[in-house]
Amino acid sequence: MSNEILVQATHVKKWFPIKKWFFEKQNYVKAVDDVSLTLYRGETLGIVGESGCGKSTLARTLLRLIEPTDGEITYDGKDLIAMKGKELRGLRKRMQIVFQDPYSSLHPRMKIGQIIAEPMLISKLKKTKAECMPRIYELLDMVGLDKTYVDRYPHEFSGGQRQRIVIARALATNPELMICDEPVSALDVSVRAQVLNLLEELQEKLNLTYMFISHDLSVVEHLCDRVAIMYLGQLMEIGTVDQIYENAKHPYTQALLSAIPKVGQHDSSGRILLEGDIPSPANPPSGCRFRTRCRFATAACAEKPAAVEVEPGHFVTCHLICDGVDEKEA
Amino acid sequence: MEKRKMKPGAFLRRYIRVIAAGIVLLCIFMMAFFAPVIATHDPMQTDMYNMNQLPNEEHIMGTDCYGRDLFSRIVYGSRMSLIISITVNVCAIVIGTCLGLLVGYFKWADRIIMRILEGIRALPMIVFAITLITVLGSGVDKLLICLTVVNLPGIARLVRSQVLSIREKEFVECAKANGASNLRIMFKYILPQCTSPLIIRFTSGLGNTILTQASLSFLGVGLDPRIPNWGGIINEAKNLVMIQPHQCGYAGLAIMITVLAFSIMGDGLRDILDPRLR
Repeated sequence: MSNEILVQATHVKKWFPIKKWFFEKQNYVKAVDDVSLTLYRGETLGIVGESGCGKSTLARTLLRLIEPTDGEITYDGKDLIAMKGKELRGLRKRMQIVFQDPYSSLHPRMKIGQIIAEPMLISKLKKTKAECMPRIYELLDMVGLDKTYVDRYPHEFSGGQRQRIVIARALATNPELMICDEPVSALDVSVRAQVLNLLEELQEKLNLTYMFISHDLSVVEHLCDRVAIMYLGQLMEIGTVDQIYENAKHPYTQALLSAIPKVGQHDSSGRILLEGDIPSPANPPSGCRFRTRCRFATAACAEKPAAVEVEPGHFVTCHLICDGVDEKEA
Repeated sequence: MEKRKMKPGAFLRRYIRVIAAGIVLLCIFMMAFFAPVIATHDPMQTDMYNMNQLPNEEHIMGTDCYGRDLFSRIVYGSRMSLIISITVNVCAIVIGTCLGLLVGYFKWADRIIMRILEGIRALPMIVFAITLITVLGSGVDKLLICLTVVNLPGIARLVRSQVLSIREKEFVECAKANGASNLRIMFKYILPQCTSPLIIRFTSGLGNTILTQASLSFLGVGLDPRIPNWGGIINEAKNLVMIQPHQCGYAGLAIMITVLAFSIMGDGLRDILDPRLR
């Protein structure tokens, strides 16, 4: 992990318009609302949060699969939002995405060879499929699949094998950044570890930068260098794995961490139970997004909190930080 | 997935409809192709001395009100029906698929083109076809245009619904993330997934078009009545239907068998191609 910045997102917003009646005020689902984060070259950044908190939307926005409503994104120092046509296509081969569902990630009527060749053909790295063949064999070998699989169809493979094919496809154009959108949550536990180990191996070998989206906190702890906690489209806390897992400051992070099941622990007295449901992102609470479910919420929380750096590289977005949440809990 | 070996009984049960309909259709196509060999008389030759004859040794199905041999006219009539039906459906599938892809993929196209197509669908098919032919004038080419237009909305809708579900799939998103052009995504990623509904639609469409075309000829707005075609034969024989019902009957039978064979073929293909019905 270096200090070289690969991706820098500043105040990124993605609001989806809600279908409205004629004279009604236009409302939005604020899927990602004012998120700023930095991705350093060679690191693994974990993004953690409940379902619907905007993790995937953030990932897709960073790849410009969907256009952000507002904000700036720079990739390797270049403005990603302003990029068009050829320049953008040139950048696309440097960043890739691995989706959650390995079943719908592969075109059912294409052979494996064709699937892996597609990114190279699209980005015009190679002209014909024949030119791609050596690279395809190399990639299949890299992800631990047999060379003879090139002429098979996706339905002949298991979930784990499919995810390996997806990873091979993502690596085809030799990317620097790989966004993994819950790459293992659709796999069963025995295969999960294999795929995670493969991802780690590949990172070492190819010096990849990962943005790893997950809701599995133990996977994130195992794999990531830094972790960002998201809630309702906003970042709650960001820091290194040690800072977050050992010294969580935000009440939401603390609640999340206390929910990790532990082997041998039978009493749930130490658990922090959150009450109520996650509010609708179309109508989020004013001020601090978490205040409707926070144990320590005060009148001050109606104001929007700013990110405070409590340790070097450890940012928390909470009013209570000055007062010290830890003492209150004790 | 290994192919399961089927028992001969199960195999037959699954393919029986397609095979039976296929044999019938093959016969009809052969009849159209070898019409000059099969026909006993010149279908255009009028014979004022032998009008409205009952079936006899000379004329197997009798003659019509101009003394033309009915059997020969029905044999030659199959040519017109099949050629028009195939041309119309090929054109409609090609244009309709392109429209469907466009409409399903781009929201702006959906708003404009789909409104127009829905407008066409809202009118009764026959009435719309008659209006169109009245405006364009009669002739084989005009009839082709008219029948194609009538078929377009259904096909475009079919493709659109497929596109709408496929374009949200992750393999499409992955292609986008790699910077694939819209055309590549439409034709290489989405279109191959639409083929089986289109094949089904094509087969059943062939039957329907024969029927529509016959209805138009019967109403007198289709083809030149001198050219032998099934609808036209019924039209000319309708005045004598009380005295000589066989004149209508034979042509009607020809239409019925052909359309039925196409529909059964379409149904059978749907059962085979649609994995949900397996």
